[in-house]
Amino acid sequence: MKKIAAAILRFFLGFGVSMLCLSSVWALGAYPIGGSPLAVVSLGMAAVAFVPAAVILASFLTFFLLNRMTSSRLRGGITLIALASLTVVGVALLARFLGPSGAVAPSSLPGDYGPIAEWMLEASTAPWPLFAAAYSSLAVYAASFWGLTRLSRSRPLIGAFIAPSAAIAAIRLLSLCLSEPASAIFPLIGLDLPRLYGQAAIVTAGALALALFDLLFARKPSGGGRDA
Amino acid sequence: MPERRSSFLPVAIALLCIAFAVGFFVALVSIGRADVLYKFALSWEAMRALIRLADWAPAILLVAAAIATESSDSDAGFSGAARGVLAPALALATVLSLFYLLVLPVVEERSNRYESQSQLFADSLRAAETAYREGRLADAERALLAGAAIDQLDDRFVELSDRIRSEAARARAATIEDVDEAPDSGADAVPWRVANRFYLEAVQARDEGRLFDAHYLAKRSAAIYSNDVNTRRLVAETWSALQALGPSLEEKAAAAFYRRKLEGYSRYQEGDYLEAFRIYSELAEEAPDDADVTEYLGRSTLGLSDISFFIEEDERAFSRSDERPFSVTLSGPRPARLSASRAAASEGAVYFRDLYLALGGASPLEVRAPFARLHGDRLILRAVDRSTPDLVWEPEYVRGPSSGSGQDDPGYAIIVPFTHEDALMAIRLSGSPGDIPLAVLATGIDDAERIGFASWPLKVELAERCSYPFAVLMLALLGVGLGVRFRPTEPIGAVSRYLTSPLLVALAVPPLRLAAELSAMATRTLAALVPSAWFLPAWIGVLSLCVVASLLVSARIASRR
Repeated sequence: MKKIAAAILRFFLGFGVSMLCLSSVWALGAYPIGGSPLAVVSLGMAAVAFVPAAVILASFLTFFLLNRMTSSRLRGGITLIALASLTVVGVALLARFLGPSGAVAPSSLPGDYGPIAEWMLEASTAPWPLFAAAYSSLAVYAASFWGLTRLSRSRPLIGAFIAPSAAIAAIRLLSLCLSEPASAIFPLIGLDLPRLYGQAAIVTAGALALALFDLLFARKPSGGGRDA
Repeated sequence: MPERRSSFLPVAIALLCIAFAVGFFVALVSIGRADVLYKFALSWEAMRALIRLADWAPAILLVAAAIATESSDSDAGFSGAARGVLAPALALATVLSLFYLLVLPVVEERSNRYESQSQLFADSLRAAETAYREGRLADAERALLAGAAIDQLDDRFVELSDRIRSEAARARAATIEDVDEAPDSGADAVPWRVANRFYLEAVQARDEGRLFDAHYLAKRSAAIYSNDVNTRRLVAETWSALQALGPSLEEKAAAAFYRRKLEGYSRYQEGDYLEAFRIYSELAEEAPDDADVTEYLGRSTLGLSDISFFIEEDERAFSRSDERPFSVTLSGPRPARLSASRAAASEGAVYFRDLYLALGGASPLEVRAPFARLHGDRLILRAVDRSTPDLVWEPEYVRGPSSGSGQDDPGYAIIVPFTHEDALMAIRLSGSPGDIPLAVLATGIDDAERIGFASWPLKVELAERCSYPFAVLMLALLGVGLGVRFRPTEPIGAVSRYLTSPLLVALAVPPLRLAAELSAMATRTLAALVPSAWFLPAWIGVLSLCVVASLLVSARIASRR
């Protein structure tokens, strides 16, 4: 129980710090000192838009604790998916019920991040089944990178060096999965899915591929307070 | 127990060597795309390899610290491991910091210069080729001059230069032949007929008393058909008659020469130095040993230098230094804005092309000039071709009085509220901030603000350079923390450990690049918030806090072992 509490604390601490850093960096970049004043609505929308990135970063910060905490991939994966789902759904519900109607992502977000921001805000107002599909796919996606930190049991340093680059790559890959060209695959193969379902399917497929990679190539988490 | 030596330095040095080799290879592969001249190829590749090495050095330091700690005694904690790594890490950090501060700007400047000179060379060849194809041989020769200043041995240059020169020589020869053969054209193609016509006209001119014409026509007839005795006699006869008329031709020529000297002197006395220079240049060709001509040619050149400059000075300046777009804006009682498409410094002056100057204050003016020179605070707007003094590039006044310092000077020289040293500073600051030497950067921020440059890019650059020693220290600490925390669970061979190190460097580069971008953003914010005088101390304070924070974070990471 104590270990679970530590993982929850690590995840939410990581999420909070990531949100703070991402929002501050965006605000500094978009509203330079002495420029136009920062609008609260814009900051709120940007904060909601940064949730997927913050969830991915928080997951990466929690991976190493999970490696030491549990020796079961399933248990660790479920813990991560639950934490990520809870976070992203919580923020999306806040945006859905308390946010301004018809809100769009601020145009000053980085170009690469645009598809993720649009998807996050679009899914927050989508019908419930789409809402659930979209955010659960993100939670599974964030948790699926865990295996990358366990590629070498004898040399955990490799995992420590892979993690930061993998976190950056995970955000870029998510952006690619949510982009228009990726969504256009389904109409091409004759499937007429709503866009959010299509995006959820692509993101989940990516997550499953990573999970398979974990099963095939990564070592089991060592548990017992040791890094792996 | 004797302490084991840290493997930090061997790992770091090996990785630095690998990084240089990889950087050199990448430069070798990409040289075709960069379009750098063969003459610069090796130096450019070495410079690019050094720049890449500098880019990867922080990641190398981090990995070397982590690997050295990872392979140290397993009982040593963070402080023990840090002690073993920090001494060599600090030594390397000092060397790297000196490299970043003193060597890298020079390397970047060199690399940029090789690229810009190669581009200029290609542009000059392209312009020369176009002019050659359109038959503008003079323009083609002029366009080749810029290329000649860069590389005269390049095959493309040699080939094009030969083509243009031979074509120009052919054109000149054709012109001379046209003049010589003019009488032979048309129906009078047979020489003796033409000679006969000249002879008859000469006789007619002699009968009418036009002795000069008679002698000239007789000479032309003799030149075409010299076998005729009558023609030769007529030449001699008209010449004798001419000599009998008055003073000899030599005397007349001397008198004409003297009159021209006098005219040049009058022009010089009136302050019309350009006309005086033109006259004395002509006379110097006729009589280079004449003492008066030599004396007054020198004096008129001196006088001319106050209101004009020779175009050869401009060509020399632009062939020696980097050409950069130029812009200076000054506020104050006499606001000024000076811009130019290109500017180059040479011999204590700054030369401009396509200059635009707007001066405010009590007597506002606005002027454009194709060429200009700034020496001290005197801006000269007229250029003269020394070999062809008739060729002059004049300024064009858009607004305001066209007189500068006096009545005799219709605005060719203007006193401006800045000096050529300010212009030199502007040239130095107008390139990439990364190319600016540390001394200029440290002392030039106030000057930059005075001459209308945004100071924040310079502050950010200065702050970035100040952060190198701190960054390498932070990375070494972080590497130690990671090395202690993520020690191998099973024994690993030294070979596999070292073979994986380039992979670890590659993995560390993207997050460190991101961190550098965030640091640049933080610097910009600080530069906007803090007054200039306090900026550097404030930034060093922030960096010191970051070092302390990284020490605590590293210790915390290591304590999770």
